[in-house]
Amino acid sequence: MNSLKGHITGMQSEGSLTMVHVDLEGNLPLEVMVIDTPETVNYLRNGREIEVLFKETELILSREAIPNISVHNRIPCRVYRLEEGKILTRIYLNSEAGPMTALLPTTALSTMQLTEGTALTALVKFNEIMLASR
Amino acid sequence: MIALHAHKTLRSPSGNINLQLELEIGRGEFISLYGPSGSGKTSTLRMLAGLLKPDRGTITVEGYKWFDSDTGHMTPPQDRKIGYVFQDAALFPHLTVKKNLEFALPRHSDPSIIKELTALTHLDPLMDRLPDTLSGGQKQRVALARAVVQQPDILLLDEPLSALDAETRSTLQDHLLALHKKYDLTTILVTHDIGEIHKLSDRVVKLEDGKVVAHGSPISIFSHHQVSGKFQFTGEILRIDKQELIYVVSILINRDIVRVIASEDEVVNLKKGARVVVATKAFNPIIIPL
Repeated sequence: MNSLKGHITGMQSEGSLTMVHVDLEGNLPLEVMVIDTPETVNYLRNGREIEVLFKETELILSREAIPNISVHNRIPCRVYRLEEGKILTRIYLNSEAGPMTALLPTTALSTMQLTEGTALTALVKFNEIMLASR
Repeated sequence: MIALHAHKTLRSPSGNINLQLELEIGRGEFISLYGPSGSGKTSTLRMLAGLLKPDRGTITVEGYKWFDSDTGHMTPPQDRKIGYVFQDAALFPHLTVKKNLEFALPRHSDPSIIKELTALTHLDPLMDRLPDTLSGGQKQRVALARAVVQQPDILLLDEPLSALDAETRSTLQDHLLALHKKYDLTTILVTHDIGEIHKLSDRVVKLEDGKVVAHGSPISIFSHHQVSGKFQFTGEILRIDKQELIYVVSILINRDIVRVIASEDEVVNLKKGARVVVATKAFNPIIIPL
């Protein structure tokens, strides 16, 4: 599981849904959708420190800095280790927001020509992220 | 709505306990009372049932004063629409299951409720048996049906399932939930079983030294982590298997086993038997008609 630290910079609620804007460390903006509002949970507050959680299987990797796709949560990062299995490969990434891992099919490794040091953009959809508050 | 504002000093072998209850319970809620022995859980039920008189305060139920120390009014137990089930089923030993249930039926009320209840709690094959010939779980099923035969508004349960094995307990929990919903009961359960609390209750009230120290949803009370994932369950780790680079974790949630893919950092501190929260976003599950 990936866990990054950030703080809430803004929120838009519509009914019971809220799009939460979070700034990760390194001033990386992220959009997260939750089925909660500031009225239903106490951690939805502007400025509140928050943990951002997502599974390593939910991370999308691109070699383009700004890929022209519908996923807008982008974290620039760099590969620092590869752990290769027969069908799955774990990519260890460093970013200004903190370390992350991504789990890819091993076949993707050669198609994308990933090696240690490769610069990438990590993408994660707004609906795959959970917020946690201690 | 039940509003309990009651004070009572209880004498116990380990010293006095000052019960200072400030508690409001919504109609139709399923509440669990949780806390160490001597924290006042059973006394709370007994005050609601009219078996224990508070020293001061008020007990108001749906706008009616059941107790008011200022006026000295106390509604007698038989005039409170309450069903009470204890750890010990306390059935009449010389009466069959059927007679035990009929005995509890209020005068002038429709006896068809007995048939309905015995069908709901699967008691039909046991109707002519005497309590001594029943297992612990069967006795508690009768005690539960008997409490509901009285057509209470409030069901008070004092650890009714604690002496039963896990499987029987789980079946009885299903019956409890079904009765709670079907008869629009407000149910207050005293229990130490955290799994049971998660399965049954809308809200947990945590008591310590006679005071309410916390209340909220089971997950907010028992998990130190607040996670936004709406698809949240608590369960028990059955096994953790490493496969390739990942871990496949089998978790018992109620009576179902689910398998969750996890990374090493998620399982590093977990062992078989550990209790965990399993959470995912509400966006992931799909719904298929049966």
